[in-house]
Amino acid sequence: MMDFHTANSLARTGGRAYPVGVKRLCIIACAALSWVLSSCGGDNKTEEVTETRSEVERFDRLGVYPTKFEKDWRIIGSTSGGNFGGVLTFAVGQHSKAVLSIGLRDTYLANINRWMVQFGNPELEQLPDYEKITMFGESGFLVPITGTFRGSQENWGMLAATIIHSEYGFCVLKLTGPEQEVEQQMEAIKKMSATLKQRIYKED
Amino acid sequence: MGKKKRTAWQWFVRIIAGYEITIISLLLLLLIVFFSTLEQAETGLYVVKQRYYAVDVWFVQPELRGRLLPLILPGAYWVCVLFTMNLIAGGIVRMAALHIKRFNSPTPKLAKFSKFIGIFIAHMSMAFLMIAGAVDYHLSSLTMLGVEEGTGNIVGESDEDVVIEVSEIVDGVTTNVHVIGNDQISSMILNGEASSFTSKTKKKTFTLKDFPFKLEFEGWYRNARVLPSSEPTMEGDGPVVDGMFIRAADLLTIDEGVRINQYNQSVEQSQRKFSSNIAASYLKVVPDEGEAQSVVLYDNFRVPSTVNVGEKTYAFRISHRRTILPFEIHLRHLEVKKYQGSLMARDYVSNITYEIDGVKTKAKISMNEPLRHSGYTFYQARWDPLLADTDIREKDIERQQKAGEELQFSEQTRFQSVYQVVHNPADKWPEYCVYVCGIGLALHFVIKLVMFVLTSFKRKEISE
Repeated sequence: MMDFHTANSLARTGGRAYPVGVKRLCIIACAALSWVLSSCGGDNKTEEVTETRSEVERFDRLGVYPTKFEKDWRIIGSTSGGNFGGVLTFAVGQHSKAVLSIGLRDTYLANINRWMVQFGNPELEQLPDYEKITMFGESGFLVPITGTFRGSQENWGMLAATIIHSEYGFCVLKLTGPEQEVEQQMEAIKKMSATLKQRIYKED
Repeated sequence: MGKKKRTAWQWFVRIIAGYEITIISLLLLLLIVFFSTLEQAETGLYVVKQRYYAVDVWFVQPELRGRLLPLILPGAYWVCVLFTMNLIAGGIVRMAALHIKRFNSPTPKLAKFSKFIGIFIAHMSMAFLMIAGAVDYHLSSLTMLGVEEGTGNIVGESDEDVVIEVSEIVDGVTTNVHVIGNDQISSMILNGEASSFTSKTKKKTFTLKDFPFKLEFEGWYRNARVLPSSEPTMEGDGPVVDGMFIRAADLLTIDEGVRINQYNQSVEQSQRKFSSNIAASYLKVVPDEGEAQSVVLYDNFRVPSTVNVGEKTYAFRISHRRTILPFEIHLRHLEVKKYQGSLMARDYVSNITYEIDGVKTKAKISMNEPLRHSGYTFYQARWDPLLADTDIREKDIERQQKAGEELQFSEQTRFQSVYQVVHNPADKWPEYCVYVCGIGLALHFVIKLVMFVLTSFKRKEISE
């Protein structure tokens, strides 16, 4: 004879006996699945980076590197010149850019006149008395030029370049950008030029 | 009187160990393998692995000839997990429990034991095979090691495993390198897979020990181009940062099967071409104090991008995982053997030397004979002539190839050999599983045969 509890349970469920444990199991499975799915993905997660490498590597391009970075100077990649043509490219301040080139030809005057023309100025016939600077241990000049840049950057109004002549040709650190910003970086470009070093690689 | 009701746990075991799960999971695996194999012919191995077999894939909609099929399949990883649980619960635990119960019955014990032991061993080996697959997936690594003739190399680089490296620059040297691994960014790829219901995360913030900043990351491109801001932008281009922006590019995958390349090497084109994909991403550096700074990372940049935080300078780059091998491989000489009268390479043999604990050992690595040592396996993947050393140029090789002439390299030409280096703790496990499964099945069928013969004799005796 059926006991009271079983009969009551059957009556409430319309004559079918559902295993109560299965219902609980389904509820638990749904809750677990929703927890798993919600913990994966999502809009914003914070993770700690735990993997490290102890190897020390050179940070340079063709052996050239700055030993100290000025506050507003950052090395960036370049889509033309820079890391593809020049040696190093810097983002300076908010809107300016500096490119270090090594191995340029011609003369001091020829290089400077090229910049003069880029900024819409007439060519010089002789070298003015520019401020002296140091780069790679060699003496050179700091060349400031203002005007209107004839290129894609319409708001560039000034160029400041440090230029020296070495056994590898002319080395130039050329900063271009809005006039006010370049003026503010005049001391910084001298310091950056002085910090540049070049590794000498020897064949073993 | 009603049947004894099962508890929730009993129902769980009943379901997870049941034949229904076995059949369903095997059918699903069959469908997954079928559609992923078809798709691989069009999109390449890497994309298919990410779409169907990655751990963060819950569901996938197969795609064929550019069209999504009206079918949703679960991710292969989780189907394998379900199948393994079913195999262990049903094929091992429940079978063992059932036969232990019968073992205690009054009927002859050896007969009862012998009926299941072979199958039990086979099931154990299959479960172990699935576990070997999981170990391989989570713990194995693959790297490419290029070694020039006459030199040695100990650093391999992965073609597929893109990582982000963050380091401090001190006097022209990067130190304290932190690596954001591919497993931390793989779910945030912005191009490369379609219709994969992965657990995508839109944004991640990374914290690095001892570094005074956090990194905000919103995804990366498996293949992209970085263009100057002077270029006209299109829909989908990224924002302009430092005068540049990122434009997603189509993934470079296979368009043919194995082919002969210009150096007459049989080359797995998917691997060769896939390594031409150039990864890119934006990264926002958020200092603990001061303004945030965004940078563009591009695998083609020759120097890492830098950000100044306080008095220090930090470098950021998107790169490929480097693996420092436990010993250096020094390539003494590369031999290229061709089939007689053919331009097809029969074998490439690298004559190498490796040194461990001061002991130098000579060895050979060839197409069919890899080198195995210390858990690493070195496969001969490909070779390239170092053209800079010779007066032969690429155009000379193309001309010879077009004329059907055999490639002639001068005696001075040096070669670079590239090895695929695999480190898999479970390298030999599938092989052992096959042996054990074979033993189990052989045992089962031998026992069956013996039992049948004995039973036949008994019946004959009884009938007589």
